[in-house]
Amino acid sequence: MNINNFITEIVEKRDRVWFGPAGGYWSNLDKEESKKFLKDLPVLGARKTVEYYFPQYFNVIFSPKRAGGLPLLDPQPGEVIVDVGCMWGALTVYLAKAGCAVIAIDQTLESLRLLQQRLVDESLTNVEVVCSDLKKISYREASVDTFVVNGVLEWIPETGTIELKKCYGKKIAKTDDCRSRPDDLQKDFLRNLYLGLKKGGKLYLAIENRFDFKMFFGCPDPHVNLPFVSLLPRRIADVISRMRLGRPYINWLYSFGGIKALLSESGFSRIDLYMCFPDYRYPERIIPYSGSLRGFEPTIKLVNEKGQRPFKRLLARLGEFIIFNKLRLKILAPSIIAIAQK
Amino acid sequence: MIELIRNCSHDSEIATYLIVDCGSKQIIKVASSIIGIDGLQRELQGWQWYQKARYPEQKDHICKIIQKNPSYLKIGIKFINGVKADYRTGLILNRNLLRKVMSHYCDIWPYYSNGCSVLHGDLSLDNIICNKEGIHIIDWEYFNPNGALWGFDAVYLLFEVLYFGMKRRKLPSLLEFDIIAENIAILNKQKLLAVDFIRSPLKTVKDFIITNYKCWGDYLLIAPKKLPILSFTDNQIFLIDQAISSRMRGML
Repeated sequence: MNINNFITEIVEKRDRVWFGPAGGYWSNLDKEESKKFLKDLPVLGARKTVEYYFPQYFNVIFSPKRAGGLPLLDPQPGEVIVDVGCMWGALTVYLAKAGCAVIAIDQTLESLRLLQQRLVDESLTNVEVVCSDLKKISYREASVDTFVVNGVLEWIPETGTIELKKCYGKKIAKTDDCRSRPDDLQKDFLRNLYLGLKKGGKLYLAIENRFDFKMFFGCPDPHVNLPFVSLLPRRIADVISRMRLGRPYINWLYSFGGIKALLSESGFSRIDLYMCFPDYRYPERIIPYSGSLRGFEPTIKLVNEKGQRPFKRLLARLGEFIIFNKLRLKILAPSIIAIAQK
Repeated sequence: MIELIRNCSHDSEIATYLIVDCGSKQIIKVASSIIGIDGLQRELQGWQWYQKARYPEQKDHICKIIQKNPSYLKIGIKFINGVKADYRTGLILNRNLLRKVMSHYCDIWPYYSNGCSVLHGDLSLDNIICNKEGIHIIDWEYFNPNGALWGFDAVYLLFEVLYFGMKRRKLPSLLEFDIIAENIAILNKQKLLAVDFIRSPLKTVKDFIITNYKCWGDYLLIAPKKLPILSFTDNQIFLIDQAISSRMRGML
């Protein structure tokens, strides 16, 4: 695959990674932690490195459950698919195994190194890895079959370094404050993808629902760790975030209607929406928004990762049963997957 | 319209989808890991065998490969319309259905000269569809062509239904013992059932699973609770087997 046929700003290739315009850092791991594992990566291989250095993320990276939404795209061998914000490549690897020609883009080089090692370990040669700012990269017009944007859109308004552990729910004033409206930045990002798509090409977009039923029970927003902010009008959420965290609220989430409007305004025509349970990261059930919730069985597990049965989980499961099986309130589904066509 | 209906349940590493297209339905199963692909290959083999035995008149393959790479497998299975019993409802409510399943087992399952037969490996109420054409068995992810003593899957089914029906009780009721005994008696009419299934059925089933882990591939290593009857304690097994075998003696 000639990468220049798809991406316009490629600057150079170093050590099997293509480099585009430099971006910031986004990872669940601190920069220091990331540096530590890199030296052992070629010796241990990807799986053992993760098991040794950050076993808590093993499933995030390797669980085949992560790719449960991708067959909605019906990926075909040879299709050019760009995984935008691929991070450790949980979805990239699935697409590569399905025989697609994959371009995996992320701004964090350390994450891409782990992905590269994983590709070597699994003998997958149909992936090109690109390190670049997701907002500054451009695609050749009508060149790509599919874009995958999995849990990325809400982070688009962010800039600079995001070490998740250091900023999740913590008071850190960001120096590079967001100057534009978050939804404008998100629209620009989507429009850029729209231009790169071939006619009939598809966008796979996965994001939390702004009106996830759990949020009404005080479950914190998964991006800023503040309760109720995603439900509130943006201005009020912004004031709360500035007071509690010292920074604006910019990780905007959307409702089903909101995401449809955002995609339409970005140019997409046919938009299919799906409800995702219990979330888009590890989906158990994905049901078309136009479909029925009849006979819905709860998907929230009673037992957590540590083998405990917290009371909160029981309540959440009960809530899930009542809201979706009995009341059938689709609008409160936890996550949204949108398949939008050009 | 496509819908994800099951994703890697019991660590199977297989995702199952339902596609509805102009009223016609199809089940799609996808795997991209070694364990998942192994399961789908068994599913293909299982359906091949079952189709020959159950639907000999049907020419089109019920289960076929849609896409295959060394590290990716996608198969399509014809959707069977019908009703599934709730696996949590126990033996008493499913008494008639179980009788039908036992007869179906006797009609379909072959008997090889070494006393073995094919293994479904996960014959539970959740994998049985009932409609006006009779009983249909689905989900062949643990299929093994020469993997088990004749009668294993059927006896396994009885104890799995018992397990879920018992909930928090330590022992079954007298009626439940009777139902198990009458169903084992149906199987025994064929004169093919190994004598151990009559003397100590639950112990025989559990011992078979423990000594033949490999029949289930790597599944039982990563998901030991997949087969719920492994959760019966030795004491429960002893008491249940004693009660059933004494009833069996009366029937023989």
